[in-house]
Amino acid sequence: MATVTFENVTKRFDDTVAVDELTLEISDGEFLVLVGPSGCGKSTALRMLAGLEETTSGRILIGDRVVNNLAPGARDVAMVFQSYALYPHMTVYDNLAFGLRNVRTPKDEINRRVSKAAEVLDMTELIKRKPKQLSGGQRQRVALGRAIVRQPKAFLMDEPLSNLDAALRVNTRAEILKLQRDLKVTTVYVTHDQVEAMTMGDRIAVMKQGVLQQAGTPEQLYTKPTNVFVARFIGSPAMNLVPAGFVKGAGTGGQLAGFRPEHVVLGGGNGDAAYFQATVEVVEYLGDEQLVHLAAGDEKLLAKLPVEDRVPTGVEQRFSIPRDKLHLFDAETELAVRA
Amino acid sequence: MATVENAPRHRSVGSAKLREALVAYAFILVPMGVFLLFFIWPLAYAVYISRYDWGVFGKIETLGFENYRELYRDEIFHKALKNTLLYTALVVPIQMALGLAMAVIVNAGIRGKTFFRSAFYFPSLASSAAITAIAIYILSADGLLNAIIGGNRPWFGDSDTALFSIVGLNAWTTSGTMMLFYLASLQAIPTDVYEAAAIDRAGAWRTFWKITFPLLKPGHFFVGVVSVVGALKVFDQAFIVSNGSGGPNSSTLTAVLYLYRTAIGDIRFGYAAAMGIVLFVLIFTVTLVQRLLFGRPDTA
Ligand SMILES: Nc1ncnc2c1ncn2[C@@H]1O[C@H](COP(=O)(O)OP(=O)(O)OP(=O)(O)O)[C@@H](O)[C@H]1O
Ligand SMILES: [Mg+2]
Repeated sequence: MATVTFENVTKRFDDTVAVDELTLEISDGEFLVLVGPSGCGKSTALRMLAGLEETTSGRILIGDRVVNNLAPGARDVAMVFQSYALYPHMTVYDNLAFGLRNVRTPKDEINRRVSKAAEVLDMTELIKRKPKQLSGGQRQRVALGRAIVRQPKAFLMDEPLSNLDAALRVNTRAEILKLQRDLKVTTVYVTHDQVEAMTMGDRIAVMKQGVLQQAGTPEQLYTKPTNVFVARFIGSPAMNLVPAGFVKGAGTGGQLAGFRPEHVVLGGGNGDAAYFQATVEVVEYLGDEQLVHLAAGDEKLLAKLPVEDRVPTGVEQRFSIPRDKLHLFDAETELAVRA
Repeated sequence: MATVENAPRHRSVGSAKLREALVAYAFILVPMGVFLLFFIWPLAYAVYISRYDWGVFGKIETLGFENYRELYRDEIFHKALKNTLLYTALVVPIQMALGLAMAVIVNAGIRGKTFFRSAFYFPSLASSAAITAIAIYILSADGLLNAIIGGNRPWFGDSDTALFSIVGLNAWTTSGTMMLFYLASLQAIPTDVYEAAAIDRAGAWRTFWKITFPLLKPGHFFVGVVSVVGALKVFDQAFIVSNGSGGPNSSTLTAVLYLYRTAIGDIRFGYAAAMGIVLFVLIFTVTLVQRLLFGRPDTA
């Protein structure tokens, strides 16, 4: 177990800058999620940490050791690949044992650890099978098992759930979290799914085109996004963003006002709340809530409202947002404007 | 591979399937025709004439299985078979090991790999007659090899070393082709498996023996079959170094060379055909056994 530190780490492939001056500190035992849209450099950052990719510049530290020039094996990290990367010719047992045999772990110790991992991951009866004879979810568990039989300084996971179906994904998410809490191993987890990021991360680092946008707890990202990109990326459905003038009592010209669909209130607008007028276009009834699509001039907005008041479509109504739920951004720089 | 459709199907779909199948068969027709004409027909014809004493002008006498019985007793044929099997047993492992080693070197992303690839493959590309002619110069009593090691043995002219010299020569020339096959097979191994092994702290040696070598199983099978079949049919080098005699002292007389001598030299086509059939059965059996032993690759 150890801290992981990126110091001004840059990775350039010919003319693309995959990771741009990444600086990030991950504390001991922390579960950090690296999130961002496809191609933003998440995998590249993780692979540099693993030693599978060289850094163009900057330093990477595991604990207080600079690992830039260490081979992957010498960094003592375990990785779960998106493709699982199981050894196709080996049984599940051998897949798990391989990393231990490579460092001449005694046989009974290997046996003990592999059996333990198999038990934890509920795959004892699969131990003699080969990867080809396993389902996607089972392969995924083997890939996890291969990481946990070792006691590495850090777990690196690159979209380990992306090949699973929705139900299995939710289960496995919980399983991974529980494992990580029990083992207390520093974890860097890559995903492009903001829901996964929000539910799993102690902290989340949001990247865009190789540049770190913001790092913080899920709550910080949700309540205090530092720029328009993070504001839009975190939270589902996404935050509404309109010119500030559109919302009465919001910011000034040259600013963008942002508010989350779940914070929109039907009616109101008296007292301290900001408000706007809009026409209800479509209502999606979700059972416990309703998603109300609104239009006002060129602006399209979304509100998530309680189901008690059914909203008639085609009618113009007033909607309000509590002042403390309102985010303001500079329209030029797209950075948050703090009141 | 394909699963059988067992759901009930509409007639129109069925006839569409039929049409598709017919088109497929039409495409296969030409290669099948060539195969029948140039492979199956000669084979059947060889079986046919192997039961006769057959000369330039055809049938001389009906012998039934007499040609096969004679083969069973023919000491020279036994010697030729023994030479061929010994040659095969030696050349195949050397060829495969060399081919694999060269493929791994060329695949390793080292500097100048394009040069090595060409250099390794060149002997396979050159005509076997030309290469053998060069080898005869190098291995002659006053040739390059003896100049280097300070001996005076005529390597192809000495019955103790002639066959082994051919083994060496062919291992060298053929390994380039084996390298090419192994290269294709190596590149079929996914890189993420190597990345996983690197993170699992496997050194280069263990990575080769525990990952690369077993995952090359389909490659081993293919290279093995090609190599064994090629070796059992060895002819040109033995023919050239011995001037067609298989000498000295029958030490380079291979099965195919003996077959050639019988057919072209002695004009005994029937007897030669019987030899061909025996060789065919031998090669076919060896291939089957190899397939049973290594044929089921477990790469996903
Ligand atoms: N080996 C490579 N050679 C050249 N460019 C590369 C290479 N690997 C990645 N890139 C580029 O670097 C950028 C970041 O890629 P990366 O794989 O890190 O993205 P990602 O965030 O993991 O995306 P995804 O969510 O799709 O996996 C992309 O523009 C990609 O095209
Ligand atoms: Mg990726």
